[in-house]
This record gives sequence, C-alpha cells and structure tokens, in this order.
Amino acid sequence: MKTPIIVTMAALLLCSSAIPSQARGKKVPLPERRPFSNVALSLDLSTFGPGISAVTPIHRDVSLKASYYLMPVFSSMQSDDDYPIALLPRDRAIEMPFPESRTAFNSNVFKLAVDWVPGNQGKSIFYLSGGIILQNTKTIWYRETYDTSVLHDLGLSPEEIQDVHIINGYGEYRLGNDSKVEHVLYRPPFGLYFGIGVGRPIPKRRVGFRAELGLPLYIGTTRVSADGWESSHIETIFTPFSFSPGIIRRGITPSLCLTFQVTVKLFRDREKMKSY
Amino acid sequence: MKKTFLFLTCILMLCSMSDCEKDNAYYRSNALDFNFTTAESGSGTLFTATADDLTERQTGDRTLLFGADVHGESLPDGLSVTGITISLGTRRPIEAGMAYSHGNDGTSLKAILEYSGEDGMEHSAESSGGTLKTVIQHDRYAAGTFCFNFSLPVYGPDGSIIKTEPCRITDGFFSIYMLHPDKITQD
Repeated sequence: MKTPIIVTMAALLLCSSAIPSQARGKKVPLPERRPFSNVALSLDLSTFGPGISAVTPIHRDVSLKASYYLMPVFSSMQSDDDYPIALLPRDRAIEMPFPESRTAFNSNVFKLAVDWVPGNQGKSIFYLSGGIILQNTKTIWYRETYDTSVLHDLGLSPEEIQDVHIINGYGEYRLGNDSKVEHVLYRPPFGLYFGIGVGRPIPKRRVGFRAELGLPLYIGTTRVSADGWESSHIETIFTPFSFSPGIIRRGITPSLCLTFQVTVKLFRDREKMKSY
Repeated sequence: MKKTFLFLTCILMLCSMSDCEKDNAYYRSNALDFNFTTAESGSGTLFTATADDLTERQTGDRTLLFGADVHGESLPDGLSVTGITISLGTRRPIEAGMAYSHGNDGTSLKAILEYSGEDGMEHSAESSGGTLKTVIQHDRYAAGTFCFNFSLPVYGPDGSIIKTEPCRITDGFFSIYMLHPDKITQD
C-alpha cells in the first residue's frame, strides 16, 4: 500500500522539477533565498489542533519552520447517567449524589522542522520535512469531585471519609483526602517528525497555501495514572484507553498527522534573473 | 449477522457489568443499622438489617416509612430486638439535609420496636421521642440517620411485666431504595 504512494509522490516531485521545454535557455526571475532573507507566517489547521507557524529560509532550498499547535477541549458537567455507590465503614453503603465531572483533552505541541525543496533550484512546489516535536504529557483526564458534606452528615470523621470507596461506572476508587477520583493519560514529551507536503514554504505571491502529511514518531512512555484506583469494571473498546493504571506503550509510537496552512509572506523577495 | 449479534451481546454485557458491581455492593451492605442501649447493659449493642430483611419501604412527598427484621446479640433480661419500623409524616415535602422530630412543625415521627422477652412472645413498643435526618434523598432513594428513646416493658417468664426499661437507639443509619405507595399496590 505504501509503495504506490511513494512512487506517485516521487513522480510528482520529478515532474515538478522538470524544466518546461519552452523555458529552456530563457532567463526567468527567481526569488533570492539567503539565510533569514524573508519570513512567512501561517495559520494552521492540523490534527494537532489549530496553530501558527513561522518559516524563514536558511538556504536556497531549505527553510526552517517553527510551529505551535494548541487544542484544549474541556467539558465540565454533572454526570447524570448513574448514581455512584459509596462504601462506608461498618458495612454501610449509600448512593452518593451526582459528582461534578470534568473531562479534558489538552494538547500543546511545538514543532521545529526543516523543509527541503528538492531539485529545480528551490522552485518545486513539493517539499520534504523533518524535525522534532515537543509536547505536553498530561493529555486526557477524567475527574469526578464528590460532595463529602453528606458523609460528614452521616457522622464520618475526616479519616473515615478518606477510606470511603466509590464504585462508579468505571471501577472502584478510594476517595482519599481530596474527595476526587481521577484518570489521567500521559503521552511521551518528545518525538521525531517526518513529512511530505505541497506548497511553497515562502509563497511566491503574498499569500500561499500548503498541505502536509506527517509521520510523527513519539519516543517515550504512554501511561495511565489513576488517583485512588482499586479495581476496574470495564476495559473496553468503548473507552478511549484502558482505565487500569499502568504503562500502555513504551518505546516508539508512530502516528499520522495532516496539516493545512494559509501562509502570508511578510517581505517582498529580492529577485535575480536566472537562465536555464 | 452473527457478528452483529455477538457485538450487541458484548455491549449489553459490558454495560451491565458496572451496575452489577453496584447492586452487589448495595445488597452486601447494611440497609439499616443502629446501636441499642438499655440502662442495664450500659454499652450499645449493634443491630443490622440488609436489603433482604426490609419489611417496609414506602415514600411519598411527605411520608417516609421503612422497617426491617434486625439481627444482633441478645440483651440482658432475655431481651432480643427482632425488628424496627420507622414512620415519618411532614406538612412540607421531605428534603435532604433536614432533621425531623415528633411534634415539631406538625411532624409525626415514631419508631416501633419489635422485641421478645423471657416469655418467648413477640412484643412491640413505640418510641417516646427521637430524631430522623434525611441526608440524601433523590428519585426513590433515601439515606440518613436516626435516634430514638423508648420505655420498654420487660416481660418475665410468666408473661407479666416485671419492669419498664429506659432504652435508646443511637447512631441509627438507613440507606433504602423506597417504593411509591401506588407501586406497592401494583406489585
């Protein structure tokens, strides 16, 4: 499956670098690309989230690109699917009032990459990209905060409240001293990035468009931690990750990423006539 | 078709698993318990009842009635507490977090204690005072605390009252899924 894609992309690259026969021998204006001679800013829409990028040339065919993507998604609600059960001392159990639930997905990604336009003296519209990714680790978390005043009203001491066990739809948890039960997914902080794209790093005109297909390789550990976790009831395809705390994956985790960019060139390019 | 059926079966099984865990936890626990203290025994004796021991569990906007057969150790004078029924009637709708006492703002609150004496017969006695607090109340579920005072007639082997024993129920707890009165008649 990968081979036809690679062959197609290579063919496109070669076609784009081919010099039209009618242009041979003629002098055409080419933007002069010297280190930091221009800057392009872009608004990005990526599977990393919305973001911004800045590109500057460091060689005729090579550009340095820094990107930042931010995707915070928070959902705060009062769970109303099922009342949790609290197991109290002296073999008592009560149906707790609904806790305040908070689900969050928070992604901050910083990418530093070098874009190389192969062949045709940097005029091709295809490019290859390679670089590094730095990202936040605490990515997804689910938290339930319980109103422990009812436990006080039932005559429980603060020490007894810490030992109360909560059974909700996911598992059994010890309430602890913070009155919360929580699951957190941590992802690796570092990754390598390889990509292939279409569109000029510095657009020929004032505004340009780019699209990029990336292959991030995350290096490190993906794990779940749970506050007060005792046991799970479900570990299913319906949950985004296993609710049991522990390491999900260690080592290199490949992924895919698609990015669209609208690029604005900040300065006019110096041009020089170049004959083919 | 088989795969779809298997998939749906898995969904149903997995979705019901957490409910099973919660149901088990609830039915393993005490639906009702209290400490019973007589003047003679001094220290409290624990009496408990699970959901299977419940004999009454009705609720309405302004009423709460629950009772159970209770289990615990025997008391001095051959006393043995076998059951309790608690009824609450209020002028205003019953709310979570409220404490109710008999006669207060038109509230009717009483506990009927069932017990056996040395004569081996079942007797009952009504509370002379007490308090009930509903800590949690939602849908058909109620949980709370209670305490009551009793003057318990103590029967001798021949069935005659040999004395009246002041008794107290303290640290009472209930956690019960109630039934509405119209639901009970349907059942």
